[in-house]
Amino acid sequence: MNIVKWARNQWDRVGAVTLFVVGALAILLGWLGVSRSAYSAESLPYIVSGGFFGLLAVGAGGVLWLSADLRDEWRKLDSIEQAWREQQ
Amino acid sequence: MTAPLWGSRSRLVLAAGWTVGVLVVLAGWWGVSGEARSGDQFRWLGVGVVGMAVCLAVSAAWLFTGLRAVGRRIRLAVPVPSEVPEKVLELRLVADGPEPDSDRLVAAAGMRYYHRPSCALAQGKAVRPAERPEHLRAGRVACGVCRPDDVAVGVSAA
Repeated sequence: MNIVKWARNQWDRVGAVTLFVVGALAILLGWLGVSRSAYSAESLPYIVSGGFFGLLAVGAGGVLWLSADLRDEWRKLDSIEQAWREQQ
Repeated sequence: MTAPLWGSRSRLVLAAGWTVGVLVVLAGWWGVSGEARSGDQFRWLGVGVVGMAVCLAVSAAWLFTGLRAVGRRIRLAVPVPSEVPEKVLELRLVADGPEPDSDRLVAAAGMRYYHRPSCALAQGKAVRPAERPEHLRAGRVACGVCRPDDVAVGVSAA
């Protein structure tokens, strides 16, 4: 299958993976910032920017992925009901 | 085509919740960056945590709404086991032992009675099997010893 077509069909899962990567990168950068800071007052902004936004990105990715699973189930139920209607 | 999984209200709540949550986290980050003392920074850190909690809450509500909708639809499509009528065992009377097959009733020419093949009175005689109506037409009656017209019955579940 064409990868562009696949990515369009699975936009939510592609988005989820992208957010996972972005979140992991943000957490990594935050950790780098904290590790290079000498004072706690200097490291806290890195915790919020890197840690909090990284966690938010990972969380958003998780929500997208689970939403994709639920949409798959919804579409499967659509096809089951359609098959029933055709049989009746 | 059926309705979408999430309605416009759910989408609005998710979008608004995430917007507010991210803005609150941004405010927390801005506040933390603008303070020089750790004690003041922790207050803003709390604001950031609140923003994250808002995002978490609307996400949980979003997923919960979707799960409920899918579950409701599955329940409509698949009957709940307690609502499926239980299979009722049907009791039928069946013959205990070999079927009362009239072919197996035997008699010999000139005999006045017809018998079961196992009947002692039919042993050693030149009997031949025939159907009951045939024996009756020949003027024979059922043997009083083996009682070929009596059917022993038993009960079995089918």
